Amino acid sequence: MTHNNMTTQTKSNLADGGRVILLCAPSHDELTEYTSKLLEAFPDLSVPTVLRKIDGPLTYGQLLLELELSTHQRAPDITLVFCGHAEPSALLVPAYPPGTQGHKNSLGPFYDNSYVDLGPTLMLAFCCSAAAGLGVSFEHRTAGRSFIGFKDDILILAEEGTYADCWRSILHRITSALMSISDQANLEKSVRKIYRDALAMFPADKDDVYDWGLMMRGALLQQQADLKVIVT
Amino acid sequence: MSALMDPPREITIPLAAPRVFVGDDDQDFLDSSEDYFSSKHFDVTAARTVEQAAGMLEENKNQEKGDFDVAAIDINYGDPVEIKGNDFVKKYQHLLGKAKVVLISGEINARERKKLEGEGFHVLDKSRTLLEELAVIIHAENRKRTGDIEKVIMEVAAPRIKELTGVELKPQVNPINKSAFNSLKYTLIKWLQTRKNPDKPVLAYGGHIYSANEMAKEVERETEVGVKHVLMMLREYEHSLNLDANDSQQHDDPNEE
Repeated sequence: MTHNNMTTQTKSNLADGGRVILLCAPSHDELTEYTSKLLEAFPDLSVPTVLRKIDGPLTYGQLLLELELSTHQRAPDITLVFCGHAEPSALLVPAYPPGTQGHKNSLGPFYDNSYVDLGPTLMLAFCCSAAAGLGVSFEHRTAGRSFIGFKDDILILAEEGTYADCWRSILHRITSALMSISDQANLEKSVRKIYRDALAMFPADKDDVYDWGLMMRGALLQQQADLKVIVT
Repeated sequence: MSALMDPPREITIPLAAPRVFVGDDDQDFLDSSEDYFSSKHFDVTAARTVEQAAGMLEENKNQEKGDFDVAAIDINYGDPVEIKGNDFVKKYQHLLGKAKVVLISGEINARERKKLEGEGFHVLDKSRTLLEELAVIIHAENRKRTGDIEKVIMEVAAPRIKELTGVELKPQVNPINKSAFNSLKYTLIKWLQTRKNPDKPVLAYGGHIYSANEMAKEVERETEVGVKHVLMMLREYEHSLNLDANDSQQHDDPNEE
C-alpha cells in the first residue's frame, strides 16, 4: 500500500511491540534517486516493513511520530536501513522542501547523536562515513544493539541492471544478517562473506560482459575495507 | 650560451621506502605489523616497550636516517600502562620530528577520542582493517614528502642552479614509485575513456556522481577523488592476486553466512 511517500503496513500493525524494518530512502538528487530505488521491492523478511521516501526535511523522531512508533510501552524493535548522504555525525536528508531554492544541495540531519538513545535497535547506514561518528556513539552509548556502516566516503557504482541487483542483494542480505546474528564476530564474518559473494559476481574474466566490472570490484573492495560492524 | 639552449636536465633523487615506527606493547600486533608492512616493502621499526621505543628513536636520530613517515603509537603504551600515547608523543617529539602521529586505540570512549582529535591527533581503532588504513596514511605521507622535496628543489635549488650555470633542472623524485603510480594512473584514464557510455554519470563518491570522462579528468589532475580511484585500482590488483589485507577471510567455510 502506498500512502504519502510511504509503503506501509497499517499503523496498528506496526506498533504491536514486534519487529519493524524502516527503509529510509532520501530521494532528491542523482545519487539518492539511484539509492532510493535500491530499497524498492525489498524482499520479504517476514517482518512488517515500511519504505519511507524522503524528499524534504524530516527527522527520525518525526518519522516515529508519523508512524505512531514513538516511545510508548509497545514500542517495537526497529531495524533502520538508511541509503543516502551522510557525514560522520549524522544521516542527512534535504534541508528544504521540494520546489524551494537549495532543495537539491542543502542537507540537514535526519538522524544524529541526539537520537542514539531513542533507537533503533539495529541500524544499517549504507552511506558515507557514518561509522566514524554515529558508529562510535553506538559503540559507547548503547547496549544490546547493532550498527553496520562505513568509516569513510564510499564508492558506489550507480548503474542499473546487474550492478543495481548486486547492491539490492547486499542491502537485503546484510539486513537479514543484522536481524538474525547477535554476536559481533559472526555478524562481521557474515557481512564480509556477503561482500565476497558480490565480488564473485564480477570476475575479471567477465569484464567483456560487465563494462563497469573493474570499477564494481573496486567499489566493493573499498566498502569492505571501510566496513565497521558493531554489536553492543 | 649553448647551455641555455639545452633541454632541461633530469636529476634523480632516490628516496628510501616509506618508513613507519610502531610502538605497542601487544606483541601479536607488532608481529602482524612487521609482516604486513614488510610485505609492502615498507621500512618498519617496532618497539614493544616504552624504553625500547625511546632507544630506537634515539638511534634513528643519531644515525641520521631521517624522520619516519608515520609513527603509530598505542594510546595506552606499556603493560601495565606506562604512558599515554599522546604524552609519549609530547615527550619524544624531538625524536619523532615530522613523522605523522597516529594513535592506536584498543578501546577509547567518545569523549577521550574527541579530546585527542581536538589536540590534532589522528586516532584509529584497532580493527581488522587497521594495518590497511595505516598503509594508506603511510603512502599518503610518503607521497606528500616527495612533493615537498620536489617543491623545494623547484622553488629554491633549481632557480639558483639556473642562475649560476644556465642549466634548467627537471627533478625526478623517487622515479620508481612515481613511474608506477603514473602507469596505474594512465591505465585507469584509458580504461575510463573507453567505457561504452563515458558521459553517463555513474561513479558516485562522497556527495557527487561522476561520468567516466569526468573521473578521467579528476585522475589526470590527481585530485583527492582521482588519487582514491588510482589506489582503488591498486587494491583491485592486490585482490586479483589474493594479496589484500582481508586475505584470511578468503578461506572461511563457503557455506556459512
